[in-house]
Amino acid sequence: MAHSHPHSGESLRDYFTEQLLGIMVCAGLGFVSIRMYTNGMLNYILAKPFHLPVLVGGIAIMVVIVLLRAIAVWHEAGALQAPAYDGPECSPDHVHDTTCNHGTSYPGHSHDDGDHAHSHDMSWMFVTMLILVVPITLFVIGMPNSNMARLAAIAEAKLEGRNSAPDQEIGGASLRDQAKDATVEDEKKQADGSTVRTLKTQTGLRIRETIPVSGEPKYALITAEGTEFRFNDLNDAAFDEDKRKSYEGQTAILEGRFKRIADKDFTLFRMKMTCCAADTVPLKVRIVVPQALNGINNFDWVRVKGQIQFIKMPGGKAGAETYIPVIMVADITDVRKGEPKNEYEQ
Amino acid sequence: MSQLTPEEAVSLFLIKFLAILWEAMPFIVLGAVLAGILEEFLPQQAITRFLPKQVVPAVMIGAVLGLVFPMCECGILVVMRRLLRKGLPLSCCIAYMLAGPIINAVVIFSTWAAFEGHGIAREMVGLRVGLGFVVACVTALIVHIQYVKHGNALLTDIAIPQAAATLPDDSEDAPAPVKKTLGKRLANISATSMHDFVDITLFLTLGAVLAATAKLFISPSEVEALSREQPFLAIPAMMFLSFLMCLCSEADAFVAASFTKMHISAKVAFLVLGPMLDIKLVLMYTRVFRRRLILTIATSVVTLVFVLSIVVHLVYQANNWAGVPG
Repeated sequence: MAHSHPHSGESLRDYFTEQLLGIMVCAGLGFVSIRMYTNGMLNYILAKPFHLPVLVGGIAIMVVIVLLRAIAVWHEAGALQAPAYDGPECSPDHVHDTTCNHGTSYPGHSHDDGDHAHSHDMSWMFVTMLILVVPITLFVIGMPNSNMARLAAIAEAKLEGRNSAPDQEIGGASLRDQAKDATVEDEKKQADGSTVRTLKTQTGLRIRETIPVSGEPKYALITAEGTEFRFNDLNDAAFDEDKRKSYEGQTAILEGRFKRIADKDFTLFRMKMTCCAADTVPLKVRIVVPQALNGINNFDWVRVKGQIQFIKMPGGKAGAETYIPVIMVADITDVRKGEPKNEYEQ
Repeated sequence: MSQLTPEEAVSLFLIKFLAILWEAMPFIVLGAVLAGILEEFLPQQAITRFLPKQVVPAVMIGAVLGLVFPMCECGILVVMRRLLRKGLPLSCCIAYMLAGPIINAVVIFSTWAAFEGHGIAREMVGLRVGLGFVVACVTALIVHIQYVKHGNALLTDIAIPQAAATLPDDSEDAPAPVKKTLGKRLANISATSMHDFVDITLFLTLGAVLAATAKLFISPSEVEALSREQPFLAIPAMMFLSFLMCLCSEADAFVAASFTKMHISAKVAFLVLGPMLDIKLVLMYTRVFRRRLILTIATSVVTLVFVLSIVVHLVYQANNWAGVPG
């Protein structure tokens, strides 16, 4: 041999062990990347714009790292059989330096004296591989999944509520009081002599007033067909007077997790994921129902329909008005249990 | 009510861990592949020919290199380490590494998009890029002074510039005249890529574990509540949060924008510090720098971001500009 550093025996075996383990672990990570993209598992941890990079990354691992490396190692191993072989890629008489480029893992930096502390420390290498196997293992046992997303959302809502003051119940004026300064939009005489009026309050709330021939008038909220609203839009609109005006009175359909405040007053929250599950925040909308609501437990997933209102909350900073979005539900049948399609709102 | 069941805590931890890991992974692959190509094709010392000899202009060029080679902070470290080996001066590398994840088209655009709805897009982009540039340049110069004093002892073995590692043998300067086959080149690229990918992903994984653990104990809403009560705590609180959250620089602007009631100065602090320093980055830095240098970088970055953000805050206050949107 033209040069003295050990290319054979122990370190050669270490080199191939390291390369093969590396290829296997990378293949695992590449496969998991591609598979999580195709089976939708990424939905639990990443926002849509970050899905494609994972797929591309997985393919890049498979092609550039796994495939090319496997071919190269295959050839190196094959060349070992040749009698004149003197270590991978080395011509017998060349002086080793960095341009010799065996790749960095093995000969590349083993030539710089004192530089092989890590690359040839096999126990370090095994620990590395073991740690990299963790995400692969989690994938194999089915993580992430919807149950994990659900539990994490609940945990986050709990943490969020830990330091803030408990939510105050919105007593709110009764429909009768609110109807006092409302404008009459429509008025119809019924066959039985009673009058049905459609009222619109100052805050855009639509109320149906039924005035019988004798006795007290009755009030009920009018719920339209309704459209799906995003928690994010409602929370954003709370900061903007014009938006508040334009939203109020519309019928919204919202889906989220339930958290009880009082008998007729609860919070609906949903996680907002901006980029990935590491940045989720719970967004809240207050729901007010006309009768006491039973049969729904904290953190159940519910679908709610009702009119949008924004109610000023006391206790904000001086001068700053804080509004929260509220859904006024006409009837408790408009609050239904369901199953989440997606834990996160994007 | 506020007590988490073990099941909930574990789920929260795992989902945060997996989210950080898989969000960053593709960008590390990208960085590793680029590193492989650079290592194979970029001739030794080639970059230094285009750089001015003086340190200050060279550092400033390093800081805007991201406009030409856009990378986010996970990938940039891998590429930077190869450039360092190839002879790009350490000061330039530091400037590129710190400013690159902020000063590039993708991140500028995403910052713009995040704040457009709040009507402060122009200010946010300007302040983020401006502060990022200043912090990166000044830190790079401080590192330069330290490098002059301590030399390669600041770096891990794998990051030491090759010119320094190679013996002064002139015949070695020119790359081997033997024409390498394509197969050999691909084999070399894959070797470097795999090495760098495994090396950095390991530390990314460890960083993600730490960050996910930290999230069990402190939530963004708590930091926001804290800083609302104490406006001058907002800046350090947001800096701490960005250190903790380990967000990608392409994405963090959207998170900052969600703190609607926060003053602009605190948001800028969040957006400038995050791409330069967070839990996973510190762990990844250990693969390039020795402890002394990491401490220098961290101290310099934290101090500068803090001081400059306070200055921004005071300027806003003095001019009576609205620091909070809406």
